[in-house]
Amino acid sequence: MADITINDSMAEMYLYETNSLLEQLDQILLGAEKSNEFSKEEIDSIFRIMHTIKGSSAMMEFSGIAKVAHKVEDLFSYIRNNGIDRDLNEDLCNLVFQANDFLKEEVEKVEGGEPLNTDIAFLEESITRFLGVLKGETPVAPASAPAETGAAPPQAEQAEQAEAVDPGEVVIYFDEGCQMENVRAMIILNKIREIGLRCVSKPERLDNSEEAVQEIVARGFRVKIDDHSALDKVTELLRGTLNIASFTVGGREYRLTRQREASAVRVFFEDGCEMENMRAFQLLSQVAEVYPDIRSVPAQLMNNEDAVQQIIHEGFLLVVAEPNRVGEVLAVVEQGLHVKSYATEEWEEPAAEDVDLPGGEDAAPAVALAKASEAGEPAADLPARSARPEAAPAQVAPVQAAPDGGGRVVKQNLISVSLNKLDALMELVGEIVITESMVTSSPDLQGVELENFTKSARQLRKLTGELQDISMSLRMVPVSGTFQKMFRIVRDMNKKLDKDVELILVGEETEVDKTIVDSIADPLMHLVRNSMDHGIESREERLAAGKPAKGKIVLSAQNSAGEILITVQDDGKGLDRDALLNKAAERGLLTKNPAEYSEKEAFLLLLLPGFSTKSEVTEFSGRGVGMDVVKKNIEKIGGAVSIESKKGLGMATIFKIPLTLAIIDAMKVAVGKSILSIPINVINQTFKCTAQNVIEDANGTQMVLIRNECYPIIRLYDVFDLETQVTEIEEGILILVEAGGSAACVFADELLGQYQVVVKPLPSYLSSYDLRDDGIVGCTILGDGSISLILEMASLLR
Amino acid sequence: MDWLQQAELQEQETVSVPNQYLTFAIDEQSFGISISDVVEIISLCPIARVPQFSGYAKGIINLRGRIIPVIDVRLRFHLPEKDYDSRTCIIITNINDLDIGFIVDEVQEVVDIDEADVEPAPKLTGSYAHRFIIGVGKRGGRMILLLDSQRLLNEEEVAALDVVRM
Repeated sequence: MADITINDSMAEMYLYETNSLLEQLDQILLGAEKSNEFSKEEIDSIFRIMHTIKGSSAMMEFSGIAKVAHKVEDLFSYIRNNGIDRDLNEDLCNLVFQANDFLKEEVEKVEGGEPLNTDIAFLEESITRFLGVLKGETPVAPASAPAETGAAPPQAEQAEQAEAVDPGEVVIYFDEGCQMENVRAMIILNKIREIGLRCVSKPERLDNSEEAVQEIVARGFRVKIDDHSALDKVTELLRGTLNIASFTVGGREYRLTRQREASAVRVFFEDGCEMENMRAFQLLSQVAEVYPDIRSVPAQLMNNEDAVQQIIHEGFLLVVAEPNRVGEVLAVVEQGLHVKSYATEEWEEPAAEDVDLPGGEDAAPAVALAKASEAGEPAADLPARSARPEAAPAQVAPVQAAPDGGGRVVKQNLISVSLNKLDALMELVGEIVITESMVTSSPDLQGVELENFTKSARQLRKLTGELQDISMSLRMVPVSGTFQKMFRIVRDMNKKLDKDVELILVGEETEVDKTIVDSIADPLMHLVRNSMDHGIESREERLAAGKPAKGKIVLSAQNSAGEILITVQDDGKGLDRDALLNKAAERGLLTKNPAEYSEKEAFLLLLLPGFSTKSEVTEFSGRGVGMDVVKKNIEKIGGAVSIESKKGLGMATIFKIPLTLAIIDAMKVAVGKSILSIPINVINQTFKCTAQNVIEDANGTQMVLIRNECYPIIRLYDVFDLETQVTEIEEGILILVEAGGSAACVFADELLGQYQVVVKPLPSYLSSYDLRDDGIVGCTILGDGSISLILEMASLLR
Repeated sequence: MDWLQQAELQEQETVSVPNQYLTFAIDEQSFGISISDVVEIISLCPIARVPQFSGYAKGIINLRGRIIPVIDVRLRFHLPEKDYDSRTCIIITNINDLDIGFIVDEVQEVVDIDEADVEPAPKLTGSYAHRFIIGVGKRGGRMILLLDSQRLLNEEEVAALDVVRM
C-alpha cells in the first residue's frame, strides 16, 4: 500500500489539507444549495479544491481519490466555461455531495490505514452522465466551437454544424483577463476591413455591450470572411495583433506563443520550511498537470543545493510560455503548500528556441544565467530579474482578491502544528513556571537583601506568566468548525426524511481546548441525528400539534463557571416519561419500581446501553448505540450529560464539559494542610461570623442568617474529611457561594487570595471514585508545585 | 513445513529472553515489577490528598506538570503504615496508558531473571500481598516476588480472584 512507503509528515499534511478542503467544499455546496445558484466564485473554488485534491492524491498515489477529483474537476471546468442551467443546480449539488462523501470516506480510510476503494466506476459514470446532460442542453462547447458559423442564418447554421468546418470562419480567443474584449474585437474587425475584405462578425454588436464581452470570452470572437483566398492575410494580421491567445482559421488552430512576452510566476516559500527544492519540484509537477509546458528556474531541482539557495533568495520561477494560461498556473500555485507569496511578472526569454527544457545537468541555471547576460542584462542579475516592472498588474490572475497593484499575494498567516508538540510545550512551560517560583522563593535567599536579583526575578515572573498565557491560548480553538459540520447532516436528513428543519448556532465562537473540540464532534452528530430522526415530528404532525411546520434545532455553546455548556435543543415532540419507562422495563433496564422514577431519572434511562426508543432501525439512527456512546465520549473528557425535556415541546441534551487547561479565576482557601480552589464566579461574599449568628435546625444542620436569608453552612473539613485545627465558626471564614440555583456558606480555615489557576483534569484512574459528584472538578498546580483541588460548588451544594 | 516449525520451537527454547525487573523492598522483602511498565523513579514529593480516596490511594502528585495518582504499596498489601523517610521512593509506571505512582520503602536494582528461574506463585500463604504475585524469581539465594502491576491497580480484579479462591 502506498501509505506504508510515504513519509509520515507528508501523509499528515495531505490528510490535514484534504480534510479541510473537503470541509470547505461542504460549506460552499450548502451555500450554493441555499441560494440555488452557483456563483462564479463558488464554481471557481470548487474547481480549485478538486484540482488540489487531485494533485496531492495523485502524488500520494491514491489513484481512486485522484480519479474522482479529476472527474469533478472536469465537470466544473466545463461549468466554469459554459455556465449551468438553474434547473440543474440541485442535481449538481447532489452529485457533488455524493462525490464529496466518497472522498471523505476514502480520506478517512487513508487515515485509518485501510485499503482504499478502487471501485469508483459508479461515481465516475454518474458524473460523466451529468456532464453529458449538461452538454446535451448546451451543445456549443468551446472545444467544438469552430463547428459553428458566425452570422449564417439559423437554418444554414444548423446544416453547417453537421458538416465539418466553414473554411471562411475565423475564431479568435483573447488572452484571459485582458479585458475590453469587445473593443479589441472591434479593432480587429476594422483592421480586416481595412485590408479590403468583407466580413460579418458574431456577436455583431460590439460597443458597450457586456453580453458581447461575455460571448467573446466564452465562445471566442467569430468572423466570417467571404473571400477565402485572403485568409492568409488575415492570419498574418492576427499574428501581429496584441492580446490574442489563439485563433482558428478555417478550422486550423494557431496558438500564439510569444517567446518575448512569456509570463512568469515568482514563488517564495515560507521562511525556514526547508527542502525548498523538493517543494518547488512538487509545485512544478502540480503545475505541469494543468500546463504541461511549464518550465522553471532553476530547472535542475533535485540534489542541487544551489537551487535551494536560489529559490530562497530569488524565489522559484515558473515560466509560462502562453500568458493566457497564467491564470491556471496561479490557481495551482495559490493552493501550493508552504507558499508564502507569489507574483506574476513578464518574462523575457533569454534565447527562445535553444533553451533545453529537461535541464538534465546541474549546469542548467548557470546556462540560463549566461544567456541572460547575453541578452544585455547585468550578469549579477539572474534571468528571473529581467521582469519588466510595468507589466505585472495586468497579468494578475482573477483568482486573487487583493486589488493592490503589486500583484504580490501574501498567504494566510496560519500554520498547523501537531498537537503533540503543543502538549510538550505546555508541559515544559508548566515546568518553567514552577521552577521559576522555586528559584525566586528559594529558602537560601531568605533574609538576604538582593536588589538586582529581586528586579530580575520580577521581570522573569512577568515573562513566564506571559509565556504560560500564550502557550495556553495556543490550544484553544473555537467550536464553530465542529458546529458548522452539523449543517450538512441537517441538510441530508431534511432531504431523506422529508422534514424541514433549521439549524441555528449560538455561541459558536466560544473557544475550548482542541481535544474537547475533537471529542464532542461525534456526540454532537449523534444528537443532531437523533433530534432529526426521533425528535422532530413530520410536517403534518407538527401542524396538527399547532407548531410551525419548520422544525428547529439549536446548537449552542457557552462558558459557565469554569465549564463549557454545549446544548443541543430541538422543538420536537420531547420525551415521554411513561413511554421511556415502558421501554426500559421491556429491555430489563429498570432497577427499581417504575413509579419511583422521577422525570429526570427516566430521561437518564436514555443514556443506558441498549436503549433505543424508536422501534425500527433507520439509516441514520436507531441502533440503540447512540446515546450511551455519547455519554461515554463526554465522560472521557471529564464531562457530564444531562437531558431536559417537556413533552410535546422538545428536548435538550446538555454537555457540561470542564474547560481543560482553561484558566479560571479562583479563590484559594486553606483547610488544614490542604489548599482548595473555589471558582471566583460562584463566590458572592466572604465574611467572618460569630457563634450567635449561627442557627441550628431540628436536624442539627447549621444555618447562618445574612440579610434575612438563611444559608446552610457546609464545613469543608467535614465534607472532605480533612484534618484541621479550625473548627470553631469564629476562627475560620465563611464564603457565601451560589451555584446551580442554590446557595450556601462554605466554611474554611482561611482565605489565601485570588489566583488564576490552570484547570487540569484529574487522572482517569480516579474516575472510578465519582469525585465530580463529590464536588471536585479538577486540580491545579500552584506556584510552589503543590496541587490544589478545584471545587465544584453546584454538586457540593446538592 | 515441519522443519520450519521445529526450528521455530527450538529458537523459542534456546533464546528465552531474560526478563528485566525493577526490584524494591517492603519490610526487607524484595518485590519485582516488570521494567517495561516503569517510566521513572522519583524521590518522595508532596502528595496532595484527595478526599473519598480509598486508603491505599494516597493522593495525587505533580510530576513536572502531570498529575499522577499515587498508591502506597504497603497499604495496598494491607501492611501497617510506616513513616516515609529519605529512602522512600515513588516508582512511576505506565500501565495501559495510565500513569500511576507506587510508593515503596526503598528501590533496589534492576535485575535480569531468566524465565527458567521463575517459579509459579505459591498457593495462598495467608499474606494479603500474595494476591498480587504472579511468580517467584530466584536470583542467587534471594527470592524476588514478582508482582502483576495490573492487579495492583485494579480492585475488582482482586475481588474476583478472591471469589475464585474461595
